[in-house]
Amino acid sequence: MRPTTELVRIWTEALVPVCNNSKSHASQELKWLLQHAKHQSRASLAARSDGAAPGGGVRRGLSEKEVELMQGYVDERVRTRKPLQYILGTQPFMDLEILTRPPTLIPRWETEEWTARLATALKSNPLIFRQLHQNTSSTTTPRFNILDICSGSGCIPLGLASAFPPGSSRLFGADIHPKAVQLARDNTAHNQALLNQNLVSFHQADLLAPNAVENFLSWLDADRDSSGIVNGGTNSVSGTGKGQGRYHLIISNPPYIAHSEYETLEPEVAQWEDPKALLADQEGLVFYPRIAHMAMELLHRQPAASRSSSSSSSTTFSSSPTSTAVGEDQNNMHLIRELDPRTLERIDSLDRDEQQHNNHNSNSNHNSGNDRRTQEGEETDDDDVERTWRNGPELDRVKIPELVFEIGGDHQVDFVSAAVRQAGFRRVQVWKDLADRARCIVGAR
Amino acid sequence: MLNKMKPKLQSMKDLHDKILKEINGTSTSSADDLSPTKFAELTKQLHDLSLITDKYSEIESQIRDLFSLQQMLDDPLTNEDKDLLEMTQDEIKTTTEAIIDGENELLLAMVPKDLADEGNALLEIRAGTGGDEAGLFAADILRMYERFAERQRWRWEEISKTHDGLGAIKDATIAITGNNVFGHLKYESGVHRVQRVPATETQGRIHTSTITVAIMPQPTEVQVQIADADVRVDVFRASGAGGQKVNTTDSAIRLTHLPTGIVVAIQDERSNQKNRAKAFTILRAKLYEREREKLALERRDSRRAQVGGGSRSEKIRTYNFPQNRVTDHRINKTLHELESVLDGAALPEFIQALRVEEQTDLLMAMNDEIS
Repeated sequence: MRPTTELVRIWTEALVPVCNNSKSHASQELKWLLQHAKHQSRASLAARSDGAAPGGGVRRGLSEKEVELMQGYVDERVRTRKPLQYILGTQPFMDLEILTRPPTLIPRWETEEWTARLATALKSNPLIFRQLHQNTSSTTTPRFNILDICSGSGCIPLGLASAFPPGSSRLFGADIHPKAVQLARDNTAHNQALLNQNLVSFHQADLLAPNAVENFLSWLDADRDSSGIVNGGTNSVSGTGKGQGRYHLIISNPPYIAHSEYETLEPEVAQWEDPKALLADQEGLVFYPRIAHMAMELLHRQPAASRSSSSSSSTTFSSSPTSTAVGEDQNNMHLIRELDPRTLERIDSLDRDEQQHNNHNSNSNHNSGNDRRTQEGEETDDDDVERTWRNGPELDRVKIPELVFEIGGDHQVDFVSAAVRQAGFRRVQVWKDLADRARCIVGAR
Repeated sequence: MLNKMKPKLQSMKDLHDKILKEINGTSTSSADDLSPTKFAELTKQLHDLSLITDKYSEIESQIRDLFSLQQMLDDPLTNEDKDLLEMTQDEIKTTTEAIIDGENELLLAMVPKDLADEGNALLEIRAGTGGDEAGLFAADILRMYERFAERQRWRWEEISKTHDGLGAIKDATIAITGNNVFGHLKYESGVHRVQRVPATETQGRIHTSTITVAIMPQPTEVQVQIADADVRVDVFRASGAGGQKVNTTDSAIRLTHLPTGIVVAIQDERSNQKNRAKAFTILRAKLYEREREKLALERRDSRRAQVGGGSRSEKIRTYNFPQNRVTDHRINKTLHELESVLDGAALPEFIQALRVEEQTDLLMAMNDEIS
């Protein structure tokens, strides 16, 4: 057997090409693989219960078993380009350890970043916090309900659950792939102790199915019945319920890679991860208008921001107790007017089954700037909403997010934010990631 | 010396009485005169001051005793009684000794305290000259502090560590949490030198290598607040648009604090959120350290203590394996039990000696200041 120093040198060099040609990064990957090999060999030693657990000192050489494991890992990594996370079987996500199995999409750092940010934003918002607080002590009000469409490994709902106040929320994940749903359920069990008694469940569902909305809404009632959070009797209404049996927040990280881009993907992604979790028609944009419109039906009738501050039954938006309510339609028209006509055409062609908003287009031209009866301060400068990209966790414009999309980058901002507005979300914000790329479109009504 | 310090002691006494009044005032009057934090702060200050003022009052009364004893001695009646004379002389002797001891205690109590002593600290170890051997020695020293921390029942959390997978360490940063961590470890900052025959050396020659140790007090998030706008965060950037298209395992985070130019890079964790949190912990400590250094510079006249205030590049200790000895160059103290030092067991001997040395330095500085 070669001396360990020699092996480490050989392995590190072998890993360099799959580590962006960075020696220091190859050393990091090697370190993680070594930790894993040591852990695995110790586990198998313990299983054989021969008691001879190797000493923990870093200075000891590698055992035969560890060398064998390492050679397998490095070979898989380099020759078959298997992603490191599939070899290790896990990926950290916020405070959780998410299990990773091919072909379900491995959580990306960008997703972890914005999920943490979303959790902070929701927690620090006094309106939400009060709501969450009230809900925990009440048996009749539903908890804070979140739906993640295309949930994959389940990292987003699980990450949010781990950050929310104890017992404050119910989080649902939907994915079309049974393997993803199984993995997400395994992840729920794996991280159960860290979920703060928030209820997380995953369901197999096709978001393009005609009854998708009813299906998504039915989980809320089914879950309530079976878990007994709400005392029964009056909550049988679904779909048409008035503020009951509905969601407070819709999240989605749908496939967003265009078919034309598929060839440019690195082998770790293209050869190992499910193309169905990556690729989408219409240049990667096909799912956004669909989900945005579904979200309008899935969300509570009354926007989150006004729910706790006003008893008004009409659809109004009040960002603070002092602001004046504004007709929703007027504002929609203003937003639609601003869109690039070509963008509008594309939305229409993608989304023919949602026609009710289009009849506003005819009089949108008359809707000049002074018609905008927006009120004080922040709401008067809607012109630059789209361009106001922010990096902080503050949600000054979108007070309470009701729809959060992960997007593929700057090139999808125009289309997706237009689609979100067109669906009826009047406030739209772009979140950038740490690499300074547009990563999320966040909407509120 | 005591006479020279009288005005200072008197002002401490006045402050003591004033705080006492303030605290008592709160308990009698209605309620919210003082916030709970302010109240706790004052109570602590009162406690610290009373250690000094009580001692001072004790000495004052001893001096009065001495004075009257002296009068007795001068009295011709005393001189006629041989027993009484002897007794008086004995008492003068013991009282004088008590006053001298009391003065020393008082002086030690008056040595200015560093509040950071009581808190947590960050330990930074870097291999210096000597190649692999320096890296192996860095690992030895890291283990020494880890053992010491275990004995002190401190919590040891590795923030980052760069190593070759075979025992040599390039650099390591550790967060140590517990009581008086900084107070114990602050004398460890500086260059540590090892002299031994490396395992790889075939001709039996002794090599000398060095490592650098830095100990920084760890501030709370309240003590050091960093504005978002002051920090540039750099991450790995894929050539495309990132997201689903790229699965990078490069989770390195680099923070650049724009006003000071301090750069902190962390790549140990597989999650860049975790790397980011760690990097901010280090950045906060570095900014705090910088602030402290600035304050120390401002009052650096005669006050600067020799020990613990030395520069990072100062060679402070040598670990000589062939001679089984460890020498601290600042106090010229040598222990011939190298294993025990490296096991953390004998380390307190150095720490205690260094603390005494520092207090002496501070007292001398105080003396200079007064005269």
